[in-house]
Amino acid sequence: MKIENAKAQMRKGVLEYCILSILSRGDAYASDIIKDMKEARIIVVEGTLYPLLTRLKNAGLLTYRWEESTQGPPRKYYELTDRGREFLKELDLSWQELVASVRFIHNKNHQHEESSDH
Amino acid sequence: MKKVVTISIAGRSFYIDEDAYQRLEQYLRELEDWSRGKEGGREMFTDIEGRIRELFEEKINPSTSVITPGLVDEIVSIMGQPGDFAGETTEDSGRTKTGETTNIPPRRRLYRDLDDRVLGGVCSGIADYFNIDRVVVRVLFALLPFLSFGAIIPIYIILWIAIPPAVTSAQRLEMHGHDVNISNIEKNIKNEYRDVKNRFRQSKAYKKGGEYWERFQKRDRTALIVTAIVIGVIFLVNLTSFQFNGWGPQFHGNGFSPGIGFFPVLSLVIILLVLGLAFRTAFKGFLVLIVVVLTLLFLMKIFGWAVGPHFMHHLMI
Repeated sequence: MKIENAKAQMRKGVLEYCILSILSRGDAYASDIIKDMKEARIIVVEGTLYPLLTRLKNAGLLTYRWEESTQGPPRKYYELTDRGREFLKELDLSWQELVASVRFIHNKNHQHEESSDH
Repeated sequence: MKKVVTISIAGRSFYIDEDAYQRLEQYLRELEDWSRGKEGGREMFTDIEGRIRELFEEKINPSTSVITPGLVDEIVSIMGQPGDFAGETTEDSGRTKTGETTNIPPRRRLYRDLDDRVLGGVCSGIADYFNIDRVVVRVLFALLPFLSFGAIIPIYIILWIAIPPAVTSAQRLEMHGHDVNISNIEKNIKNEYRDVKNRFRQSKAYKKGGEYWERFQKRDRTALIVTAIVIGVIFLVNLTSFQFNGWGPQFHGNGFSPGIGFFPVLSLVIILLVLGLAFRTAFKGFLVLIVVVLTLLFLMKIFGWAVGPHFMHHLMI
């Protein structure tokens, strides 16, 4: 088992969750999403975003519309579909559960260390 | 002094210096190769190209307004190599490893080699494409006018016109690019098929057809598929029918096509292969069918020879 694979698998679901979460704030075009994700340091290279957007779009979780732009070519604005919103709700829940579970285990480890110190 | 070329990225033109151009072209080709095999790949590639345009607009030095190699490197490091896109490694369960996708030489394409040519560089280009000795191809082409009663001469001229010359170093690389072997051909055909399928899926006709299709009961659907297959088989039998009349005692062969028409068999094989691609699960079945048909034809050919009155005649030819 390679560490890269484990990391990539961990990130994959989280990345999709993040994109949906960013879009829940309002419609955005690819560069806006990239900016947010880079600020959050969740992606390293920008190319990562495009396969994810395609996958989410194909899954019917998001859709896009073309919008004219004052500078440059028309832009693709992505938005969540109803199904995407439902999906995000589920993911929100499962994220909280995950965080709680991991925290629980960490705490237990911590207690264990403390008790073994005495 | 450096040469500057003009390129268009996502509909906007940029000046770019020649070294930078080659780097950028190589990168875009890698992206294109990567996107080719993906669902919605073409769209993804267009989106990425759009983003690259945006980054150039953002980062280009306004006083020189020329894209430099440094800038291309910066953009590449921002966008990342296809192998570095997160989530990609799990998709293919480790099949697409970083490096493997970035280090393969570009796909081989047919170009005329202007650096090593007798007339138009057609022969050397063909030799490169099939990875055979240039001399062999040239000798062949030199002999062909006599064998084909001059027909090769216009063909050579058409090839000369039709095959583009390898001008840039990227094209020269492509000329020697990776081997045209069965697995690459298979990959290309699969990619092409997927492309067509995706475009077809996005078309209105397909969606409408799909709606009608959904209304059928499952049993009716099976019946329809079976009917289609039966019609297909009848069609194929018709295609191959003329050698059923062709072999046997009444056969007056002309030596070149003893009993078996080459083109009907070829079209049969192609149709079966296409069907096999369309119905992936039945692909093996189709392959078996091809083998059976070819074996039958082969047997018939031998049988036809053996019983035919022109047996000796054929042997002499």
